[in-house]
Amino acid sequence: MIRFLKRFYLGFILLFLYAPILVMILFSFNKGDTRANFTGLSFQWYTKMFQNSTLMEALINTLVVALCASVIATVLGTFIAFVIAKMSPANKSISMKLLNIPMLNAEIVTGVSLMFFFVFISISLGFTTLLIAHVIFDVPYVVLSVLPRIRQSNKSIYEAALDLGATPVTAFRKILLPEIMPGIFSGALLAFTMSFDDFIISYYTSGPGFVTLSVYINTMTKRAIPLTINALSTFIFVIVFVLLLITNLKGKKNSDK
Amino acid sequence: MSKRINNALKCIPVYLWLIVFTVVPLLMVFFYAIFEVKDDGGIRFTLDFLKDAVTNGQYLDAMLRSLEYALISTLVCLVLGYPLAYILAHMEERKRNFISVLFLLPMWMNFLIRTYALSSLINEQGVITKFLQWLGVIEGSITGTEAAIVIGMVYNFLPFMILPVYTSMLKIDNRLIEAARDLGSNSFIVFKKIILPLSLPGVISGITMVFVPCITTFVIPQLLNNKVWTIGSLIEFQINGNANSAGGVNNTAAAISFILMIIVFICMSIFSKFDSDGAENGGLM
Repeated sequence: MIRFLKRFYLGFILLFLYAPILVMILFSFNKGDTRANFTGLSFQWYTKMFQNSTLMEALINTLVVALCASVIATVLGTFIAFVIAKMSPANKSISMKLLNIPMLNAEIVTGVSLMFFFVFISISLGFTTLLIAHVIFDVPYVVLSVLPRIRQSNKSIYEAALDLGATPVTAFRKILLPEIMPGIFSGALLAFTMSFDDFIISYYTSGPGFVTLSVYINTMTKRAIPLTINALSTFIFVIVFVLLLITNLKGKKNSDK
Repeated sequence: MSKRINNALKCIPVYLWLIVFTVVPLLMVFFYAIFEVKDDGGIRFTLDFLKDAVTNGQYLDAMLRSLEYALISTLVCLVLGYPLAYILAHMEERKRNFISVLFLLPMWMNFLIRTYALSSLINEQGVITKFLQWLGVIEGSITGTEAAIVIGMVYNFLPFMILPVYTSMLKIDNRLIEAARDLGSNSFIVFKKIILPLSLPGVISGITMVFVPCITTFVIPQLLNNKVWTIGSLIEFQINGNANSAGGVNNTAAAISFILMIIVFICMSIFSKFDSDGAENGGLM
């Protein structure tokens, strides 16, 4: 009986979390053009989505920004993680607190503050500002996935390599890097996902000339636009869902070992 | 000695990064809250905007309303999330990993898309609205009511409550529970004396993690009930709906954001007090 109640409760919350998304996906295949009546199966909204040139431009923008931001953030984040790992406890605590600010702070405050910052140093809003903003909020994710790996890594193997005559660079490349690689990889994947999916920070730091998919969806929700928005949302949702599933299940498996 | 200096030198770029890109932008909010931008590009010191932000009736109203929605939503998330985290934490390990990921994944996903998806179910023609109308519980649509905002917040932020509570429950040493049972405690005593106090840090961080985004969101009120003003929608309106913004900068928005930032930092300092080791195991991975 208790077992049944538990399952029922889990199922109920899971339904609450996923039902809206499933309905949204269902209606992206609607033959009609409202969110109210499902009149038959059709792929017309997907065709329309891929024929919409503004939307395709937004897709390319999003991919370019997410790719550039995650690569830059991975390099920077890994470097920062190495430095933080060697810091004294006091310094470490301060830098971790600062690093956590963009993750814990309200997104609207982060977005608005970055916008003010760019206006203050007079860079006009567009691709550059968007890229910088994305790197800024991606870095903490990379650091947080690399840092535990560095802590777990076996220092004596690295020292043994040095004793046997390897240069620090070789020892780093052959010993340390392979050991922390899974952390770097999942950090990079997470950073890409966060960038691809971000709305609020992009909304404030991208100018009217450079639109990303989420920002485009926002303009679409304000006009009564047909179901292309469902097709587009489904498209983003599926990509992000799969990326996150890979990151998390892989991360879990690695930490079990 | 030289090694210490070497290490200290390496810290510099990291601090530089953190200060330039994390601290300075936040200071910019304060800067624009106290310096008026004039049309000719000049600036002037004034406390009017800050004073206005805490005395103007419309802003105060929005702040109090946001606080109210955030409090109610946080409470609902706690009531729904705590038992859920408990059930998840006590599942078989093999199943637990996959199922918990399903519950936690939505926290990383686009709020705009998720709120839009929710709105199709609870707007005038939504399935849930139709069903509740048929039952006779409600008359109009759910969107446009205050309940819609709370539902939207709970829907979006519930995983943020589940994660920290679940993590803190996983950390509880099972031997403590077994020992208590061996010494004759019943389930209620075990819960009251062991599980509840040991999961409390998780509850505290869960409350902060839900409360902060709830109080600041503008997407949820915009999509589910655009008749009421919250702090988030006020800032968003000042920046994007207001012709007085000079080059994107709006002093009123800066002043309101500054007040909001202070509220958020108070919440965050409470969070870090209770969660000293959470920084590295707070993530999903």
